[in-house]
Amino acid sequence: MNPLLQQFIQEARDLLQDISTHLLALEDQPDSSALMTELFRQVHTLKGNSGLFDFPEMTRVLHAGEDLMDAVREGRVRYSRQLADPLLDAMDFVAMLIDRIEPGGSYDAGYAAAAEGFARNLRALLPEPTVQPEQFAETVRPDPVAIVLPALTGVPEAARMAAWRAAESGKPLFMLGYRPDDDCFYRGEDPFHQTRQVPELLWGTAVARQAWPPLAELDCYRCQVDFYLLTSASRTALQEHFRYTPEQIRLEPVEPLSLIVPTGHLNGGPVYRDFVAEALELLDAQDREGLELLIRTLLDLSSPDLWLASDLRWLLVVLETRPEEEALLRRLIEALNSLTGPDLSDLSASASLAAVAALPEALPPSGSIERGQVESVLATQLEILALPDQGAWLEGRIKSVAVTVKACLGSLGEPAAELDAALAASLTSRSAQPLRHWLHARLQGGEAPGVEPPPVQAAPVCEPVAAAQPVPGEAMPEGIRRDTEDTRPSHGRDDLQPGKILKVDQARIDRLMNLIGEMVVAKNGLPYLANRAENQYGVRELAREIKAQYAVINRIAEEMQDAIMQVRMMPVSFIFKRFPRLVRDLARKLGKEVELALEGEDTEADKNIIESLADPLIHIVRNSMDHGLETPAVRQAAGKPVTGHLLIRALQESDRVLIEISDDGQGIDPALIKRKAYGKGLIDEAQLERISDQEAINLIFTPGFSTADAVTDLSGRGVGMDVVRNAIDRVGGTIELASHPGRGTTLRLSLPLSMAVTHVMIIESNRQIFGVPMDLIVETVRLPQTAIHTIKQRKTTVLRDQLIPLLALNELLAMDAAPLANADGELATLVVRVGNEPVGLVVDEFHEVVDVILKPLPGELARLGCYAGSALLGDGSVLMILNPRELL
Amino acid sequence: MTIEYRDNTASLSGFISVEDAESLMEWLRSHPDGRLDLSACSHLHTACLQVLMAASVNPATGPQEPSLAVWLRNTLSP
Amino acid sequence: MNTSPAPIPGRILVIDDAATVRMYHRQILEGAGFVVAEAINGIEAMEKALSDRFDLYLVDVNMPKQDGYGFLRELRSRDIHQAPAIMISTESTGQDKRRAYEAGANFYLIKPIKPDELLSHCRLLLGPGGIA
Repeated sequence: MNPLLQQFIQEARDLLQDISTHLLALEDQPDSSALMTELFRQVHTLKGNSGLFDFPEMTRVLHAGEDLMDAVREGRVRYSRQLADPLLDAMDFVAMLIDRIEPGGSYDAGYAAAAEGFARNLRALLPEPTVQPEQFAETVRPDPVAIVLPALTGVPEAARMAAWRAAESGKPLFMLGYRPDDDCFYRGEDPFHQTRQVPELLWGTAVARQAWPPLAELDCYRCQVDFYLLTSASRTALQEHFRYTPEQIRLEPVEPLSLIVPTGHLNGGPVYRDFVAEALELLDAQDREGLELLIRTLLDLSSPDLWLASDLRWLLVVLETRPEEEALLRRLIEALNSLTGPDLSDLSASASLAAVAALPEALPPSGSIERGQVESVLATQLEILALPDQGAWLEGRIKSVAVTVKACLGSLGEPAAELDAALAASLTSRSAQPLRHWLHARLQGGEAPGVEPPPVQAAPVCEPVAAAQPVPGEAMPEGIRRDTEDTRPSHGRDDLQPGKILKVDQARIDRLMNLIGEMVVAKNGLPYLANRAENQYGVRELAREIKAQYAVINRIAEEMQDAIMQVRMMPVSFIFKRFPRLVRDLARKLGKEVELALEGEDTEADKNIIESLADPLIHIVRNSMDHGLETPAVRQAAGKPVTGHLLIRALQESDRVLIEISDDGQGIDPALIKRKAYGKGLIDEAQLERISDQEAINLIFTPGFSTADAVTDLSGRGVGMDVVRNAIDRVGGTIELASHPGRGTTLRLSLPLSMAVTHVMIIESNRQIFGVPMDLIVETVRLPQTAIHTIKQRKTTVLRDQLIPLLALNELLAMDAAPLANADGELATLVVRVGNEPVGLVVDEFHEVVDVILKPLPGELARLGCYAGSALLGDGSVLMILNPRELL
Repeated sequence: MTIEYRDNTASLSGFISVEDAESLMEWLRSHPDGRLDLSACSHLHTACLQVLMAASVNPATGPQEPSLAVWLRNTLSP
Repeated sequence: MNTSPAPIPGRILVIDDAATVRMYHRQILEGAGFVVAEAINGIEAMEKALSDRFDLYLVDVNMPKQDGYGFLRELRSRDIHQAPAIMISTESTGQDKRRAYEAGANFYLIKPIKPDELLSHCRLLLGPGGIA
C-alpha cells in the first residue's frame, strides 16, 4: 500500500483514540478549556488529513465535528452529555470508514447518506449555521489564467467516449484552455495552427472571448478567440508543446467519471421502467451478456437523439471497459427512471484515489510557476510592508520580504536593482516604507526607478544607426572611471526583455516626426473650416460639429506626438562616449594629467537636443582642458593633486535635462576677465568699476571674447563661449557658469527634454504674418502715442515703473514701412524678454496663438539668425518664426 | 491568392494566410449571403478563422481535410 | 521514472503536527529534488531553525505547544537568515491572512493544497538560485 495512505490510517487511529479519550475526560471536567482546545485541534487535524485524499464522506463528518468543537472552544456552545454522544457516534463512523479503507485503499460507495446523517446531527447542535456564504466565496481562488474551462457537457459525446477509452488504456486526460495574446499575429503566430498540432487531440473548438462586434468594426488582426481542447497527451508533452507561451494556457486534469454525462432530448415512457427492472435483474444475476443484449435491443428501437439513447450508449461503453463496476452500471440504469444524473461524484473516490495515492510517481506535479502566482506573491509582499511598523520581529519581517521579492524577481529572470539599498533604508529607519515605495514603483512601472533620481524612461530605445558604430580606434585611456562603451543606450534597462527592444533606422523616426507634424497642421485646418462653415456658408450646426470633432482629433494628435517624442528619446551616452578619447588626447597634447568621470549616461532627452549638445560640449571640455586645468607642475606648486579632475554628469530634473561640466582647475579670475573685456572695448570704464565678479565671469559669453593669451589649436578656432551659448539657446536651453578662483569651474546646462510642439503667437506687420514663440512673450499691450517717449533718439515706454525700449519689427527686418496704429491710434506692442531685459516689439496687429512644429530653415537660410525656423499653418501657408534673441 | 472570389462564392484553397483575413472580411461584409467553399482548404490562419466566427457563417462546402472539418464543425456550428 | 523538471536545490522545513501532512509535503517536495526537514511544533521548528539554515518554511497554523504565529514571530525576531515562510491554513478569511502576514509569513496557502500549487510556490519563493 501507498505509504502516505498507511501513514494516514495510522495517524487517524491515534487521533480517534485521543479524541474519544478527551471526550470522556471532558465529561468529568466540562469547563476545561485546555481539554476543549486540544479536542478541537485533534478533530481539525484529522479533518485536514482526510482532505488530502478523496474521502468526501469522512471529511464531511469531520468538518461538522470540527465546527461543533470550535463553537464549544469559543464558548458559543456549552459542552454537555448531549454533545458528547453524537460526537462519539460520528467518530465511530469515521473509525469504521478507516477500517474499510485499510485493506484496499478505499471504501465502497453508499456511505453518503449515512455521512450526511451524522453531519446533520452534529450541526443541529450548533447555535446557528457556521458556514457563511462569504466563506465559500473566499475559498474559490482566482485562476492564474483567467480562462474558464468549459463544462464537459459542452464536449460531444463521441469525443467524451474517446476520452474515456483513452483513460481506460492508462492515458492521462486534460482539458486545456489556450488564450493567445491579442497581438500574437504580429509576431507571426498562428494559434489555430498551434492548437491543431496538439498531440493526442480528442476534441477542440475555438470560442470568441466576447460577443463579436459587427463585421465592419472587427479588428481581424487582433486575436479575439480562445481555444479549448481535450487531449490524452501527458502534461509534459502539453507543456512542451506550449513551451513558448506557458502563461497562456490552463491545464486541468479530467476525472474520467465526469465524462459520463448522458445528453439528448428527454422523453420518458413506461417501457423504460420495464427496462430498468429487467436490466437490474440481469445485473444482480451477473448476466453481463444478457444485459448487453437488452441494452442493444432498446437502443435499436430508440431515436439516437434521445437522452435515453445516450445513457444506453454509455452503459455499453462501461460494460465493455469496466464490466466489474457494478455501482456505476447500476447508477446508469437507474438514471433512466428519472432521466437525470447519474450522480457519480461519490464513485470518484475509488477511481481517483489511485492517482492521489500514487503521487508523485504516476503523475509528477510540474509545479511550474505561473506569472499570476508571481504577481500574487509580490502583491502580498506589498501588503505585508503596508502593515503597521510594530513588533520586535519587524526587522526580520522586512528582511524576509526582501528575500522573497528577490526570489520572485529572480524567477522572472528580472534583476532586483536597488533592492538592497531600499532594504538598507528600511532597516536603518525601522520602517517598511522605503522598501514599500521601491516595490510599489517596481510593480507599477515594471521598471525599477532608483531610490534616487534619475527616473528611467520606459520608451523603447531609439538608437540611431550611427550611434551603433563604435568610434574607430577607441581605446580606453587609463584613469577613466567608467567605460562608456558599456553605457550604450540599452544600459540600465536590462529588465526589458531583449526581444522587446526594436532597433529602428533614424530615418523612420524622422518620417514619423514629419508625419505627425503634418497631422498637427492638417488638424489645425479644422478650426478654419469651422469658421468658413459658419461665416461663409452659414451652417452653424456643422461648424459646431467640426469643432467638436477637432477637439477629439486634437487630443489624439497630442498623445501621438507625445508617444513619438518618447521614441525619439536617446541617452546622453550617445555624445558622452566620445569624451574619454578626447580627454586623453587633449591631456597628452597639453602635457596635463586629467581624470575624467562620467555620470548619468543613461539620462535621456530628445534626439535633436542630444545632437545639438555635441559641439557645445566638446567646446566646453576643450576650454576646461585648455584654460581650466593646470599642468602637473602648476598644480603641485599650488598644493593640489597632480592629476586634475573633470566631471561630466547628466541628470533629469522634472522636464529638463541638466548637464554639468566641472573641473578642479584654476577657475576664472574675474579681475583678469574685466581687464580683457575693457581692453577689447566690451565694457567701459564705469562698468569696469561697477560689475560684480559673477557678472564679470559671464562676460566670457560675450561675442568676441577670448581669454587665452595664445590662441592654441585646441580651443581657438576663432570661436568663443558665445557660440556655445547660442547653440544652447537655439534648443531652448540655458547656461550658467560658476567659478571659484583656484578651485575650479562648473558649467551648468539646462535643456528641455524634448522639442515638443511650440506655441507661437501669430503677429502681423507690413501685411505679413510672423510667429513669435510664446515662451518669450511677457505680455501684449496697445500703447497710445502719448505713452511713447523718445530718450536719446530711442523710443521707450514705461510699463509698471519699468523703462522698456521699443523697437519696430519692420525696422528690424529692414522693411520700409511705419508701424500701423489702430483706430484709436494705439500701437500693438509685444513685450518680449530677451536675456534679462524686456523689450517692446512694435507690430501692426496680434493674431491667435497656434501650436506648430518648428522646422529649421533648410540650407543657407539657416544662417538667417533672425528666424528660428518655419512652420506650416492649417491653411497651408508657411509661417516664419522669429528669433527675437538674434533679432534684437 | 488562395482565396478566389467569384460572383457569390468565395473558394478557399490550400493554406489561407493571415494576409487573406482582411479581404475575406471585406468580401463577407459585401456579400452577407455569400457562399463559402472550403473543400480544398487545408488550414486557415486564426485571423481568418475568427473572421468566419464573427460573420457567423457556416461554409456551404466544408473542407475535405478531416481534422479541419471537425474543428470547423465544432467551432462554427450553432 | 521521475520526469519532473530539473530540481532546484533548497532546504525546506515543514512544520505541522500532523504526520500525514508532513509526509504528504515531503513526498511532493522530495520528488521535486528539495531537501526536506520536519518539525512537529513551533518549539521544535525554532530549535532546527537555529541550528541549521533553511531556505523556506512551510508553517501550519494550528499546532500544540507553539502555534504557527508564535513560531513566525520568534523566527523573525532572531538574527538569522530570514528565509521566506508560507503559512498553511484551512481558514481563508482576510483576517486570518493578515494575522499570518503580521506575524511574519510571506504567503498564505489554503488546505488542501494541490501538489502543483505547493511546488510552484516553493519554487517561486526559493528563487532561481535555490540556496542563496
